[in-house]
Amino acid sequence: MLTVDNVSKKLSGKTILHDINLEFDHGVYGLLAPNGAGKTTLMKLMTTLLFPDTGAIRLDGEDITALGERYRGQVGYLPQDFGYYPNYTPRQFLRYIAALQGMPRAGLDERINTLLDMVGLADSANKRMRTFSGGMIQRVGIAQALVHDPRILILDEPTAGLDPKERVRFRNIIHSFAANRIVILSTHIVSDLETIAGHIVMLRDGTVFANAAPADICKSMEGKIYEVPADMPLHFGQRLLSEVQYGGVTRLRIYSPEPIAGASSLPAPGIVPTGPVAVAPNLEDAFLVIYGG
Amino acid sequence: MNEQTDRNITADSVDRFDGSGRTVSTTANATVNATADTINRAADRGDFDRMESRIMQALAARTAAAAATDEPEFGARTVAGTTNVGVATVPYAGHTDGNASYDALVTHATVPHNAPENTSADEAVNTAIANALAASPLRREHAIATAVQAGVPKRVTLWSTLREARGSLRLRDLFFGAWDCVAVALVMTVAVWLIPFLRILSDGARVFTDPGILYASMFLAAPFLYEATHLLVRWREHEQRTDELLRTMRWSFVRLCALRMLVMGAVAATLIVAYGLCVNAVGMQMGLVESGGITGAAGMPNATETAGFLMTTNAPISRFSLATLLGVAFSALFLFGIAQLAADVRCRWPWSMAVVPTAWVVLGAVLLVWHDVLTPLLTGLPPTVALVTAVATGIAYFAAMNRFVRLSPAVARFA
Repeated sequence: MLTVDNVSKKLSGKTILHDINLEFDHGVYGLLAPNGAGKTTLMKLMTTLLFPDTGAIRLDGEDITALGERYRGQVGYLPQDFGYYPNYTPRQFLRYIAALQGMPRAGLDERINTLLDMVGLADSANKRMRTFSGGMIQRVGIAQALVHDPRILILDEPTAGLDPKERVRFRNIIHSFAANRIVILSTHIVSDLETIAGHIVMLRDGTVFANAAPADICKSMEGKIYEVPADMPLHFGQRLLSEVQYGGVTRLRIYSPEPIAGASSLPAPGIVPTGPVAVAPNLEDAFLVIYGG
Repeated sequence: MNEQTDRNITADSVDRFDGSGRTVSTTANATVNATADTINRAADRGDFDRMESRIMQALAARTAAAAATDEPEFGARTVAGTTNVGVATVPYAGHTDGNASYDALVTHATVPHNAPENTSADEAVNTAIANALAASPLRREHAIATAVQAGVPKRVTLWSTLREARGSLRLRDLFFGAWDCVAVALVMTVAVWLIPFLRILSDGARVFTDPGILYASMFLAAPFLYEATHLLVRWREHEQRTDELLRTMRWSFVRLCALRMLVMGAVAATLIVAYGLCVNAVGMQMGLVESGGITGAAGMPNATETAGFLMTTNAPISRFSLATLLGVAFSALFLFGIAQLAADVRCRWPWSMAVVPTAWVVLGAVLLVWHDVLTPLLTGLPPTVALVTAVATGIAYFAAMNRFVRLSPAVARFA
C-alpha cells in the first residue's frame, strides 16, 4: 500500500500541497483538478522527483526516499511532458529503459514485443521516433512505463494526444494492468476517468477536496443538475455548466442547489424537452461545480 | 550428463504425450531418477541456477504430459514435501524482481501433480524438487541471505556501482541518445588541444625551453573533453526533457552520471597520455627534449636551427619534462572533476554547469598570462613530485566520486 501522510510542498515560496493524506491500494486512482492545483507536484512527489517539505510518502510503511532504488524499481512513470529520443526506435528506447530499470536481458525482446503490440506500435517498432505523431509518442511513453512490470504506475496526462480508438485501447491496458497493482493517473478528459478510475481524488487549494468512487461523487450531485431552456434566467446560486444541442435547439445544463419547481424527468430519447428537466449528474458536472464552471 | 538428462526428460514427456502414460517404463523411471539426482546434486552444490533449470524442465515435461492425457494439471492430492511452502516461497537470488515463473515453479513444486498412473515416477520428482527446495541447508541459507539482502538497503559505493553496471548497463546505454554530443565534445577537444600543439610546431624551441606556457595550456585544456561531454549530454537531456524520466529509474541519475564521468575521465586520461607522448616525440624530433641533434622533419626547425636559437637566446635546452606535463594534466583533470562534483551537489541547474568551467577558464587565463612565473616553479619541480600530485588528486577524485554515488536524490541538488 502506498500512503501519503500529511504531505506539504512549497515551490518558489508558494504552497502547492498542504497536509495531503491519501492511501492507494490496488486499483485505478484518478487525480482530478484544474491546472495548477498540484496534480503534477503530487505525482512528482510519488516518483521521488520532488521531496515533501513535511510529511512522508510510504510504501508498505517504509519511506520511499529511504527505499531509494528499491522503490523506483517498482514504479513506472509517464511524465506530462514526455521526452523521447527522436533518432532512436521505440524498440531501442524500451531496451534502454529496461537496462536502467535493471531488468535482465534474457526474455527482454519478447517483453518489448508484447508491449509494443499492446500499445499498437508493433509495425513501427523499428522506425525512428522522429517520424511519429504525438499519439504514437504518447504510446511509446505508456510502453516505457510498463516495461519492467511495475507495481505502481503513475501516469500524468496519459491520454493527451490519443485518438478515441487509442483511448479505448489505453483503458483496456490499464484495466488489465490494475488488477493487482496501483495505477495513479491524471487527465483533463473527465470521461476517461469516469470509465477507468475506481477512485477519484479531487484536489482544491492544495488539499484533498474529495476522495471517492466516481459514482459516489456523482451521487452527491443528484437532484441538482438540470437541463433548462436557453432563455430561462438563472436564479441566485444556480450556475451554468454547459450547453446541450438537440438538433437546432440549444438548452442549458445547469447546477441548482435548490430543486427547480416544475422540473420533470428526462423524456424518452428523440423527444426534445421544453421545460426544466432533472438529469443524471456525471463527473464532468461535479468537476465544473466544484472548480467553478 | 546434463544434456543427456535434458533429452531424457523430453523423451519421457513425448512418451506420455503419445498416450502411453499408463505404463511408464523402467527407462522412464530411470530418467526421472536421473532428473531427481541432478536436482539434488545441484542443490547440494549450491548451484541453484542449474537446480532451477532442471526443475523447470521436469515441470514442463510433466505439464505437457498432463495436457496430453487431459488430466487436471495439478491436483489437490498432497504428498511429501508440501509442508515446506514457507521456506520454498522465500525469494530466490537473482530472481526476486517479480519473476512469475519462479513463483509458479515454487507453487507447482509444492502442489504435486495428480497423475494416478505415474504416481511413483511423479512422486520421485516431487520429492526431489521439494527436498531440493526445502531440505538443502545450503538452499535455506541462501534463501535467508537473499531475503535479508532484499530487505536491507545496500550500501552503494563506487565499486558496487561499477560492478552492477558491468552486469546491466552497456557503454551504449550510458550515452544513449547523446552519442552526437560525445562526438562533438571529441571534435572540440581536438580543436582546443591543437592550439598548443600548433604553437609547438611553429615555435617549438621557445615552447620547450620555456614550457610554462605548455603546462598552463595543458592545465586549462586537460579537463576539456570531460567537461564538454558532461555539459553537452546534460544540456541535451534537459532540452529533450528526458532527464525527468531518467531520474525515476532504478539506476539513479547520480550513478548514471557518475559512470559517464568515469568513462569520459578514462578517455580523457588516455588522450592526455597520447598527447603527452606526441609532444614529447615532437620535442625529440626537434632535438630539444633529448640532447643530440636529429634532423627535423619537414617544416620543423632542424638541429642546426635549434642550436642557433639557443646560442642567440642563451636559453637552457630541454626544460620540458613529459612526466611534469602528464602530472599537470592529470592533476588538472582530477581537480576539475572534484570541483564539478562539488558543483553538481551544491548548485542548481544550470549554475552547476557554468560555475566550474568559468572558474577554470579564469584560472587558466591567469596561468597563461603569468606563465613566466609558472615556468621556474614547474621546471624546478622534480617530475616524480608532479606524478605523485597527480596520483594524490586521482585518489581524491575517486573518493569524491564514491561519496557522490552514495548521495540521496533528496540531498543532491543535481538529482
